[in-house]
Amino acid sequence: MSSAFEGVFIVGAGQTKYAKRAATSVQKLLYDAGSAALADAGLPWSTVDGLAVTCFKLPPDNVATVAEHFGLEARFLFQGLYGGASGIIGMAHAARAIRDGACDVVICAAADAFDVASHNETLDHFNGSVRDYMSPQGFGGANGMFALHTRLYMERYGATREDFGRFCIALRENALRNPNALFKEGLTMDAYLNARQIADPLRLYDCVMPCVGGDAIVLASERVARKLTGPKLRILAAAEIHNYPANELYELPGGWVGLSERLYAQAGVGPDAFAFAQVYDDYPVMAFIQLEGLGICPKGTAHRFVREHDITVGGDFPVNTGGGQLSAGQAGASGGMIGVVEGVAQLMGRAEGRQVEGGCGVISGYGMVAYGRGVSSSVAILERAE
Amino acid sequence: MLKPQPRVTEISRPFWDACNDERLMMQKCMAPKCGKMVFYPRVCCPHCHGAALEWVEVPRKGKIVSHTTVHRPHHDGFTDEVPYVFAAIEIEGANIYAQVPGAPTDGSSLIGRSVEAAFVTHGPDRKLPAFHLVKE
Repeated sequence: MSSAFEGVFIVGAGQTKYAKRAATSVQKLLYDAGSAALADAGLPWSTVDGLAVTCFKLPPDNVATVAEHFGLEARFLFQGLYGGASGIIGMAHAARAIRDGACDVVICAAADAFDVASHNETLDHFNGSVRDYMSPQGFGGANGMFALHTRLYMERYGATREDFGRFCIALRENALRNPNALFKEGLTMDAYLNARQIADPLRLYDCVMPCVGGDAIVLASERVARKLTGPKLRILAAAEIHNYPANELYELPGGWVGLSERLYAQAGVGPDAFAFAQVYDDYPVMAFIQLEGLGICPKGTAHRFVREHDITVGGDFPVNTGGGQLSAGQAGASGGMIGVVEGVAQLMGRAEGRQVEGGCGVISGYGMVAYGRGVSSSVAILERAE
Repeated sequence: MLKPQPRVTEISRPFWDACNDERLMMQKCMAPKCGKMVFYPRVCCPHCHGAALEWVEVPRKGKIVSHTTVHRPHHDGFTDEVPYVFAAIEIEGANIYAQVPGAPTDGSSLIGRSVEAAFVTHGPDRKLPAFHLVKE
């Protein structure tokens, strides 16, 4: 297959330990995740000449001061401003920079140190429209915002609480094979349906657990990558779309339907080629909308898809093979990288205990919740290089 | 505990001033081929991108697009009020978020129900719109 990013390879991925609480600075998390990814690639920090960082708790620092902190002479910097869509967007921007000869080795990292209180505090003034027209009305944070989408999805398409439960239970099964996932016990339908109410129809297990952690991958130019002995991946295509469709809050929340046609034309493959999907699972309803927008199943049928398909690691179409944010944890902006790191580990054959077969997969991101919905959507198709 | 307060800016001041007067105002695009109602307050029409927005008083009646019963608020200022209904409300094609005091909190569907605006005291010198269910 042709790649939109000829001469660019993903050569490593790494993750810090995920923790419910830890007194760790985000700089340390970014460093540890980057170090793990470099070790995976077999590259030293001295080769790094580019950095893409997404981290809600980084201000007043920024990606340039992180480069200074780490002592990097950087020829490319990117700071993700698109929440959970940023991980993939940063990777795509970095790949373009390498392809265009600006730099050779880029670390794409995300990290945060969140708990429920600091997550809510961040959301309270996430942007102007949330701060002024949602938060004062007691919107319930992201939970309340996505409760509205969940209710509409259920009414419009006949999805039930059990359908979202099937998705969450399957992800929990996947998480039990991931030693770094925060949830260590299986989830029953009874426990899912009767969990504590959060924002009707959402209950506890529809909501991610804010946590502490970091994720990173390493991109390298062909010049660097050809000296490495480990597996390498190509980015067949990557795309971002924002505010799509404009002014339609409740028709198609999320932009994947607006980017998938161009994406698949660019990649030269379609959904049939995917061994897995790593979707942005801040809420089950958004995972459903990604499966539909990416053409993995038709619009309005994802709830039937999870009835008819086994999305666990051993199943016919594995989704979020590491447990996703719903069962591994959401370390703030790292939620936009966790799927990338998991997808890279799978395609490199390094997903020990949860390895799926196949050399091509899709990863999607979603973020920057604003007036009633997330504004930014992203997606990448990765393939193992032979 | 003080609830989160909106930041009143030169863009949004007419909306907030009107709320304090218990009137509901939104921006309307004056471009002849557009004419759409706009909310939240902006510097240009997000439909046609023109700058000809004028503040107009809108009917107090709208319809619920979707809603939730909040059991776990995002801010301690709302803790004493749970459970309450928070909703997206459509008024003349524009979307506004508000609580619906008095609506059933048991999760039964309110989608499509008609609501009428009232105004509630939210903080010092600050009233917010709230909506009540009305008969069709």
